[in-house]
Amino acid sequence: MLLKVFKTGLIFLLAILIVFLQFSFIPSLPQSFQAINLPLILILLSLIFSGPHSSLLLALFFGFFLDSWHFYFFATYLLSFVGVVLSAQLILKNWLTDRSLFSFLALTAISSFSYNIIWNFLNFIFSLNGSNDSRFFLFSFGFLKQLFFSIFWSVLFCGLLFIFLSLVSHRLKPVFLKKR
Amino acid sequence: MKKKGFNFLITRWNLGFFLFFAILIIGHYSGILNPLERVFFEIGNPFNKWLYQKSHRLASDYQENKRDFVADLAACQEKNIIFAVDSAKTKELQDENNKLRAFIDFFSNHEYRKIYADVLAQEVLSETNESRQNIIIDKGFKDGVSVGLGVINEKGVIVGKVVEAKDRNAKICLVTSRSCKLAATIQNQNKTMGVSEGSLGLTTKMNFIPQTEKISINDLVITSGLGEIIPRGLAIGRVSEVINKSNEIWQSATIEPLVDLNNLTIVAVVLP
Repeated sequence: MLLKVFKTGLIFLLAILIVFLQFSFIPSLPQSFQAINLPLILILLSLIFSGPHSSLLLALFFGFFLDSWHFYFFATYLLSFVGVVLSAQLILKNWLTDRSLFSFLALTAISSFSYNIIWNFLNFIFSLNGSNDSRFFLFSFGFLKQLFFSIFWSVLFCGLLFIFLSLVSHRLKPVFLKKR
Repeated sequence: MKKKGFNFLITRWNLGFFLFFAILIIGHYSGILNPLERVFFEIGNPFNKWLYQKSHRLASDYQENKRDFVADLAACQEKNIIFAVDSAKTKELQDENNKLRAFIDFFSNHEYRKIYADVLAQEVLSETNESRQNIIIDKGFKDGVSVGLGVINEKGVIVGKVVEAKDRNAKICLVTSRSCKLAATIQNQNKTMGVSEGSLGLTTKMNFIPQTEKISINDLVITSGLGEIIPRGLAIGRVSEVINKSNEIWQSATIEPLVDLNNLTIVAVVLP
């Protein structure tokens, strides 16, 4: 019981740290690093290791804080993260049912792609109030560049964390088959 | 039995989750959650400010030292790490001190009411290639900040204006942002007036200038003080290019900002 409380507390502290980093630290880095999306990475890891409930709660946590601090339409981050969890869960249930490293990386790439599409689409829709000349993002070079780096960093971080966690945790032992 | 398709959504837990989700959104827009959001913001402010400054310094050093990386690596191996860390801390304090002194000097010569603010974060707009166009500061309505106010750096150069404000923070669009339009005057013979507008996140442009107006490179562009609550006389930049085609009615001028907009950590909001 105590261990569970300790683990929950640790995850809560980690989540708070990630929110601070995502809000203040990462957007100020050089351009290619701005696409790093730590909340998304943690949500996907939580989906694999703990299941959809905890990843939905994390999505709610991250979404609420980022929406409160940012000036985008409230619920942009909430809807994006929750949308990603639902789509990832759908993919895991119906297509990528084998929990291998490569299917996890594929899931990460697809989730990162869908997150960027959902977030930018919501931002575009909510900013169509005539006060600033919003352009549709899909064919803009800036969006495609951001999308590429977002997928790159997400896959890289998730892959490294997945390998590290498989070494320290017993839950993924069957995933990595040892050659005899 | 394994649930296929979308059937996994329909569980009691999920329905409860979505209900809570809807309550959160309704709570925000009805204002019920405002006190809670304010508390989170007050708690988070010091951490956000510290993280932004660290990240900002990292980005500046990364740009400057990329080329000298090999030479620096050899030099760093011989340096004492503790002295290097102390030196960095001292430099940061010195920079902050210098900026604040510059602010005091500026405001002692100009009678503006102002609110000092720390930059907490910057918003990255991914739908275009124009990043670093908006910054978020730690002052809002409760501190006297309102939409439309001008924001200056320690040298008195206008860097942007307030576009949105919450209770304890506000969003500033920088002068190089497309959404930042300022009533401006070019300090030429005719004192040409117009509206400056950001372009590509890099420069500012003034369009629809009559062909009869004579504009030269390096002419200073300042705020005209017309129609807004931004006072007259705040420097915006210098004319770097004049686009003047004989078969067109209008000409336009590209304005280069006088300061590096990537180097903002403390700003002042000028009150009317």
